[in-house]
Amino acid sequence: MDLFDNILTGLSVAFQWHNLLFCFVGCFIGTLIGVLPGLGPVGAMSILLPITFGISPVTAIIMLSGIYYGAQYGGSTTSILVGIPGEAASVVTTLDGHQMALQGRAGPALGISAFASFIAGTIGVLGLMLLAPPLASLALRFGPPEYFALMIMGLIILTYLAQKSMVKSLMMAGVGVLVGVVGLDTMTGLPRFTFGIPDLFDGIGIAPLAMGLFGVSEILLNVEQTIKQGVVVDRVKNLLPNLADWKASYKPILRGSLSGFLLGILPGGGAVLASFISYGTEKRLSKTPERFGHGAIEGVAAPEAANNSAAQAAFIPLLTLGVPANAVMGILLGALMIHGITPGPMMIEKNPELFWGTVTSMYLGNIMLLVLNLPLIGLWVKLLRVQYAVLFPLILFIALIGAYVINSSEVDLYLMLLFGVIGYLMRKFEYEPAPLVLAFVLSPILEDSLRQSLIISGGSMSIFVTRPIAAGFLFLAAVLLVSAVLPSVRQKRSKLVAQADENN
Amino acid sequence: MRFKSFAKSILTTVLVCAASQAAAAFPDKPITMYVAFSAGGTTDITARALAQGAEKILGVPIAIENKGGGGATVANGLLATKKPDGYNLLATSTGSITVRPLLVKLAYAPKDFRVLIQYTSYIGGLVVRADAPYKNVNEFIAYAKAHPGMTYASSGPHTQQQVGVESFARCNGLTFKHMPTKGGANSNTALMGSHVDFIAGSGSHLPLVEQGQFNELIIFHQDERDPARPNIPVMKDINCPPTNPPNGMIIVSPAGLPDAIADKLSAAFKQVADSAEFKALLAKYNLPETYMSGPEVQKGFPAEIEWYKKYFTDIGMIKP
Amino acid sequence: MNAERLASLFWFVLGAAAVYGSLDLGLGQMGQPGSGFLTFVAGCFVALMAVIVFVQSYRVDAAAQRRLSELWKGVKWQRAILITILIAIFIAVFETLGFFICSFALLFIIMKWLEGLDWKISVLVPAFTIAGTYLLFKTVLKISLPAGIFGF
Repeated sequence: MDLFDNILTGLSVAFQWHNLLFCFVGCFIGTLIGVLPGLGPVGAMSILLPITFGISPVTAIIMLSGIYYGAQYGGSTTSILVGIPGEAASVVTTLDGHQMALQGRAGPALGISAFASFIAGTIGVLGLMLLAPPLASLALRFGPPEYFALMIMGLIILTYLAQKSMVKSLMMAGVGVLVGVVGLDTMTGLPRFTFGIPDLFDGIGIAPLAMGLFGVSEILLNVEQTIKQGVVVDRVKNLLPNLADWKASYKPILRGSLSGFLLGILPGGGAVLASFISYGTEKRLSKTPERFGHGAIEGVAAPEAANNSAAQAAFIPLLTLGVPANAVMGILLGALMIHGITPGPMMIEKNPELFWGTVTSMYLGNIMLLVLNLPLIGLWVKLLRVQYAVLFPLILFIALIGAYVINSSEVDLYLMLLFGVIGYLMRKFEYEPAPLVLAFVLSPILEDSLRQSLIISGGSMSIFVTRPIAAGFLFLAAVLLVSAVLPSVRQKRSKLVAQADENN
Repeated sequence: MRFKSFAKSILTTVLVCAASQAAAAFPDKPITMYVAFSAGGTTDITARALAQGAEKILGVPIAIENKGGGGATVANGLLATKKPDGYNLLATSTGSITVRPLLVKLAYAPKDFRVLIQYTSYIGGLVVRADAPYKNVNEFIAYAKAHPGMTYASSGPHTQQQVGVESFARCNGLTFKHMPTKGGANSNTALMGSHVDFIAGSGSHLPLVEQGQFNELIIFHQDERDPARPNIPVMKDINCPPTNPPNGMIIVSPAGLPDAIADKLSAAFKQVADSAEFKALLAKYNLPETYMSGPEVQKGFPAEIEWYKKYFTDIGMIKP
Repeated sequence: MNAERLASLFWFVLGAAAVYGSLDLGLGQMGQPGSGFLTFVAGCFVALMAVIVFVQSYRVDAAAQRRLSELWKGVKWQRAILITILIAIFIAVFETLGFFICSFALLFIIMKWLEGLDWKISVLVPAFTIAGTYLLFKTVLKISLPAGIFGF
């Protein structure tokens, strides 16, 4: 009964006309920002924060939340259409999503992405409503050793993204970790690998890195082609996923939502980790893993579900413990403080209309975003029909501007170009950019948790095996690594055996 | 000869006009305020409140970006590389700028900054979980002696509170393992999850103490007990010499900021700091109202450095 | 030159450089890992993987046997270089000449000169896109773009 009352309270708040209006505004702006590669929701939320002053805290939070997950929806769009990830959580979507677009199936890709996000969002909101406090206390049990083990497992799963050589994938992950180190050391404050360039003190931005490695490199590869095929786009009726698509996708969506939700709770963990863990899981579970990377719809459905439910779950540490799970939550925290509300364990009790109002509004936001994004699919698909010779300069232009406005920095643009060239070369030599980018994102968390763990343990590595959760993740990582290597070992063995048979 | 001085005066006029134009036009785009510690901590919460109030006065958004790490040295190092145009500010501690260089090599020096305002000072204490086996500071000391190597989290190496804990340790002959985090909120989480034994509380622990999850065993950086919480001892109550005095919470810009812009910013911040809402926020976190103007703060730097040099030498953190 | 071996050599050097740099930063001790700790491990790992790739390049299959020249066979790589140079110039003058001039120049040059599209498209499409982008950033997102020395 309690829960029912809460939902009613929430609905009564969410359906007030000004809350609906601001929810829509937030979703709209969020989608816009998500579609523009480079500028992320953090920058926009900060700039738009003043708009929230004249309005009540609930409405402010609703609008800011709308921007946040609207950006999630929008980020997938560029990943699929042009292969430029809108943000780190959309990197994995480019792997199969963009391939689908190139095969003329942009509509179904966008469609399944929107629907997966919606379903995952719904599941996420349900999870939030029902499970927030117990999950929050579970999240507290994640200390540095657990994070480190989780990061290691994540890095191993990165190899599942590999289409070709696993060794090369692992190597790219290692390089990603190295690139992530560039900047000021977070424990000593001293510069590392910055080559005397002050602009690198803040590290290399994820946007120039991802946009360069994915977007610019692809443009460079494409302009080399003597004949650029126009993208084959089918008729209108193929704008949405068909029955076969749904059959293939519904389980990945459910699994992705679940894993995304659990991972999203961890402060710092979040959507990125969830996106590629779900991708790796689907590839592992699939009976035809070789389709992944070439337009398998599960490769879009699962990560999209995961990153959206992770986005919902990221609210939990903030709303229940007062601890922001990522930079976006930090802004929300600030917004709450400004309005005189201290988030924390008492917040739900003291401000029920805020918590439940936000939760139900999130759900409405999901519906609004679905309604907003589906009709746009037709528009996006039409865009793809444009001649590549006209399209790519525009994509390049948007990428350059998008990368510039993050910090108003020329250095970011040079970095994007540099990584564009590196990505171009990498692809020529068959090295994949995705593991690099994803390892780059994990690198700071990996390092901090490693160093903190070793301090707590006094230098002993045993801390990773004596603590159950950490040990569990490391064991899982080992299992995953072995099971990834085993098939190719078996293959080699059977090849050798076959050769030996032939020779006899 | 005549042409040269003519040209010089034209140039000067143009530059002055440009500068005052710039100052008059300031601000005309959003300002970024970095915060040297993670979101949810004392520095962050107060800086956000300051920014929010100043936005209304200055008429442009002030975007907060947390850059915790290294006990504020990461954010300080970052700001030192930014242009002194008034659009890049930082909420940090005086100690990380003046005192820290005495202890470690850094990517910046005090001369790289211009202080705009000091709006409060840091507090600190030793904070444990409420369900810990030790309920007061003496029980804690006994427990720590029996279990050497207890771990604690702080907002960074050599921050005011961490130095406080080390002073406490030295006085009582204890050894602890220090785990730096990016700010008070992270330390609180670490303690909530029992990943460390105690924390060097820096203010954001107070709501959790009030809610009964944490217990503050001793207050540092003050000579007298807090009248609002008279049962919490200070260093002299356990026969220990006083810990280091509090550092100020300040807003800085990179050095070389034109006076006109600095004055505009300082005035805006002072107006917010004087407001009732801001003072209420400070009261909520037991933070003192120790306002000082930018120039006053910078004038006090040499004395602070001297004091800390002697202090660190006395307690053995630097060799004489 | 075998493509695989060349690439693996590059990555090996990168890994080794990272290891070298880490020693400079200091590895610390196990109980107090230093600045260079993780980069040392990662650098060693990258170098190790590079060695494995190098060894694997002696396999008999086609992929491992590719020569460097094959990678660029039949493609107009000069266009890729041109685009790179154009982008580099764009970035170099972006803040000096301002958003409008640089963006228009870049788009126009690519469309007209590189791709050989006709005048109407090469002028109108950039014009509209640039105008739209400017409006979007200026009004909705309130972000300013560099004005350059000409003031616009």
